[in-house]
Amino acid sequence: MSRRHPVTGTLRKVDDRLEIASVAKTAMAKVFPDHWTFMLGEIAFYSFLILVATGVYLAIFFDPSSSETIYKGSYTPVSGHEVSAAYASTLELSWDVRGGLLMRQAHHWAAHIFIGAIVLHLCRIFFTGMFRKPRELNWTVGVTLLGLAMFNAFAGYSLPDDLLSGIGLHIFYSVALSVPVIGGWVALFAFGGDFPGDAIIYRLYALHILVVPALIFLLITVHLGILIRQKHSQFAGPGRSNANVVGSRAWPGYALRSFALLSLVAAVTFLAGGFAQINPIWVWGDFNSATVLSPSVADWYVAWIEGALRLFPPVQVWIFGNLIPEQFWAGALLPLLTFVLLYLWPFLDRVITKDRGTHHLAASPRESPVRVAIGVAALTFYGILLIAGAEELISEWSRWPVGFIRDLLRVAVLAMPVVTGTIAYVVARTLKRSGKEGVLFLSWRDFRPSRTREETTEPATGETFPEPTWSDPTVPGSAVAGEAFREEPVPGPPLVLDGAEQEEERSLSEVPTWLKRSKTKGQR
Amino acid sequence: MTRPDESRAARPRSRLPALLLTAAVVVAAAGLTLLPRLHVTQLDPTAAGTNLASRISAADVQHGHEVYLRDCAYCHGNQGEGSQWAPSLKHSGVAYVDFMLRTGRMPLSSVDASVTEGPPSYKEATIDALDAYVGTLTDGPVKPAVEPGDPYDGRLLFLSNCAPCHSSSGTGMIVTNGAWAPELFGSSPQTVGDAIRVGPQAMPPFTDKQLTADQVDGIATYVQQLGAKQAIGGDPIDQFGPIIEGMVAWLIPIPVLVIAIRLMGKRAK
Amino acid sequence: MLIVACFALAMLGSLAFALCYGFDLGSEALGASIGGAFAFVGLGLAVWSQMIENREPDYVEERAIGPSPTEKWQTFEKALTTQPVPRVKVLWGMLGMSVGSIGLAALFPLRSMFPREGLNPQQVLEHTRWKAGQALITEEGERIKPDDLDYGSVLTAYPAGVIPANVDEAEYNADAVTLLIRVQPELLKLPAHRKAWVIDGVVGYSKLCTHAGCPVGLYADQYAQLLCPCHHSIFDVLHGAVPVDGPAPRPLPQLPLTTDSEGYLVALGDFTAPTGAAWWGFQP
Repeated sequence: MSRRHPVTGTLRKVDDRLEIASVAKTAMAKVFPDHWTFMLGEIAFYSFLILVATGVYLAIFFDPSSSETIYKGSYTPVSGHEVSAAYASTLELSWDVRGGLLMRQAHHWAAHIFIGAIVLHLCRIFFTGMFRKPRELNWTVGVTLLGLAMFNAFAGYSLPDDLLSGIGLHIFYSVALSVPVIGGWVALFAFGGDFPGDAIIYRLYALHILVVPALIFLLITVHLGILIRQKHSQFAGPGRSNANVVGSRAWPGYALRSFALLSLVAAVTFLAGGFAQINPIWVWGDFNSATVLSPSVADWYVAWIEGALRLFPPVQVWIFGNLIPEQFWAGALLPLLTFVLLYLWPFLDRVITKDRGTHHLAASPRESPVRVAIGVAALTFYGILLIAGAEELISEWSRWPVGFIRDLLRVAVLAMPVVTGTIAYVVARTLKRSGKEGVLFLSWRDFRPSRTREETTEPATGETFPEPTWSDPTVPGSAVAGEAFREEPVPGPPLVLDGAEQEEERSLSEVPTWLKRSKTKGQR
Repeated sequence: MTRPDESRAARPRSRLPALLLTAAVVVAAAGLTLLPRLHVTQLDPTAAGTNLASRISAADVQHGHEVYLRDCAYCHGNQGEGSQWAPSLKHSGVAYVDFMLRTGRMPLSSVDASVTEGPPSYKEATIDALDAYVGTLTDGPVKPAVEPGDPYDGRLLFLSNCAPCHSSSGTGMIVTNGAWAPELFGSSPQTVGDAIRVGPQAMPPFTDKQLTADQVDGIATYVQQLGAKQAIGGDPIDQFGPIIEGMVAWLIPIPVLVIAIRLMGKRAK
Repeated sequence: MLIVACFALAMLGSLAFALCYGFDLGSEALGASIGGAFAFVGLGLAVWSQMIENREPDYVEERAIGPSPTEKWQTFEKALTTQPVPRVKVLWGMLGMSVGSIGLAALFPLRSMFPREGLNPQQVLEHTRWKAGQALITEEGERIKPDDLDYGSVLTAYPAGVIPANVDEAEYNADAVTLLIRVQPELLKLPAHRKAWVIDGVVGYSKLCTHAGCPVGLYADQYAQLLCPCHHSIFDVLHGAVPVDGPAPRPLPQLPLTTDSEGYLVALGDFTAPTGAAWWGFQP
């Protein structure tokens, strides 16, 4: 390059000091599989960035104190009167700080998107079996991130000291009390005394803006570090094996696409923040431990716990004269079990499927009907608990008594997972046997059990790509070949900014011909 | 990495922009229709401050009597003594009668019709006349004279006395046994005052020892602030609380982003 | 062209955002402008990346699949475990213990998160501030006579008394908050020893739900039932506030009431049971 490009010129100076060229080239050549579900995690990551950006803005104006102060802003029903500093500063943020309401609402919507994307990402990983070896570790990191995200959302929601979040904290306190043996200590430790005390907002604030985000940031780094080290998983396809990754390169295609997603996440967040009111704390009122409002409902990511508390029957279990309070089972044990099961899932799956192999090819969900069944049953279970978290709204709209809806849901929460799980199992098994492309392609005939077909029928349509394991001697570059530490990137050309055409021709020539997509019409 | 301009024409047109735009329009339209809007009628502020005593005249009572005999006496009896179809009005009080008339719960279209809220059947003056006439029959709670009050006091009292059933936002909610606290948007100050004193249906009444006349004025004034006046920052999504917000999150922003990645990414081959 | 237009529109959106901010146009305008700007950047980038996609082939990257070759692993293991200084086990063990002891010592400051007084949860949770002879007051601090309530009325009452400086009244009394309800006395079906605690039909119950501690604020006068909006437990006021529906297993504790010489309501003592949610060590 004779003429210095302004950007490359600067980079050259950096390279002079850090020698970045080879590292950067490797990074730019990183291959991302093209399947759309691989971007679910990216939505979560980008909404986290937006949470941090908007959260910093909010922290500048928010006063995390429950001491009384006089609100002097423009919300007339409170103006000139005493409320807690946390509530007053949130009112100011919403009514008086220009742009504050947009930031507050965007922050809140981003939290919904963050956790929602994590849940979808988790479902994708679960149903395609990509928690299997060697990704068990990254699965546990991801589950931890989900837990931290849920906790931090709850903590942030509780900060403004409004009536609705105060009720939520009261339930949290009661659930903390219910832990056997140490419950009283746990609750007093968390709240610094009897509920509500004056310490909880400071404590949640420290956790919400510092400790938990730092942990999330750290774990995202670990999550992505493991991802880069292990490289992406991918769906099976022509030329795809356990020993390679096929897809787009980081630069320029995938990076632009990813930045597009960042912008779209920001767009959706700010549009929602501008056009949809969320958590109007001036409506709910400031916290007063003697009052309540109806409906007292929770945010969806904790509403399933609320729903479980509603459905759990009024039983008191006494052990040696000590009561295990009824709110323990649904409020503390269920979330605990949920996360324990999530953490243990890769190991449980290994026991169920007896599959100890290394997998880099994402399975089609149908490949393990049992896993599909368990996943669908679990989603049904938590979905019904979530519905129970809104039972008064169902009652309000249907005019059915709450007690009737509760009984219905009590039955449903136990029966429906079995039903949906069975259906999912049958459908997945039928798909697996018939080899058809999707549920819509199935006919009733496919469901008819036929012993002979099960044994004789080969997948009817499409090619199949048997998953090679790492010890497969036919796979080049597998561990047996003895090059585990080599991190040679793509068989690709050196990246030259002004040599695009040349590069393309070369890269095309080096890729096996059957990998060239028919769409590729770049030759000029 | 940009490429020379002249090559651009030869390139296949991506379907992505069209799809993205279509998706955005569809979702925006869906969003607008899906989000139920709050309907808040703007009330005449002068209605609250009128002095009742000065308005009652003999002519009013006479007019009220006529309407009473025409529309009410069939069930409630010529002297408000009640019948097999309807309770006596002897002890129900003017406030109760006023509340039932103003909220359109009375009169019923037929003897076996259910008592439901609706637009009032009478004009303001006719209601006042009926109140004046029933006042000669009954000894229950008098109709409170509701005047503009202090919204701050009203807000505090609303939160501690009314929000438990009607919600802080005034959307109302079910209570027990099929009873429900109705939505308060558009309730006139007089209706609010009547309801506080009478405690219609499942609602408990509040005496003037519990809530003074000034405090009732404050609550009635604060109720006028509910709904549209609190709806800053976009659509209030019905102010039912966080679970509806979560539902909206799963209906609009999250699906939009999933559609976006679906359009940008490919499917398994 | 489309991409250029998108980016140009994004710039317009940013400009609009600045103007909306300048003219204080509210969150809709701000959200629309900045959200629109992001949307157009995203759209432009998406189209751009799609064009690249359409011209690029699929790339293949090889993946090393563990474990490391035996030889390499052994070299690494040897490098890790070979120690030039002897008595290695003792040294590592002592290092571990010393660092661990610092970790344990660091736990001690956490004790400060407990309340300064009344560390024993049993003492904190078992009793409220109600004592014999303590007057009942409203939220506004006024004393209460039974006739202040109509039949079917409810009133929230607190214990009278001096509240320590810097403590919020509502917070101080969170577990003592009482709901007074006036019902027709002949309808009340209470255990014999509790009947005397009803004054002219005024009965006092703890306002905290025995399930998860939410205020039981919803009173349906027609049915004499209290409802908790959090988990929909229903308590029957006429039968000692026993739960008739929902997840709460225990009745609301009753506050023993009497009147003083002037006819004002005073408490005869603490509630019949600890208020709010139960804990390990709870005795009804």
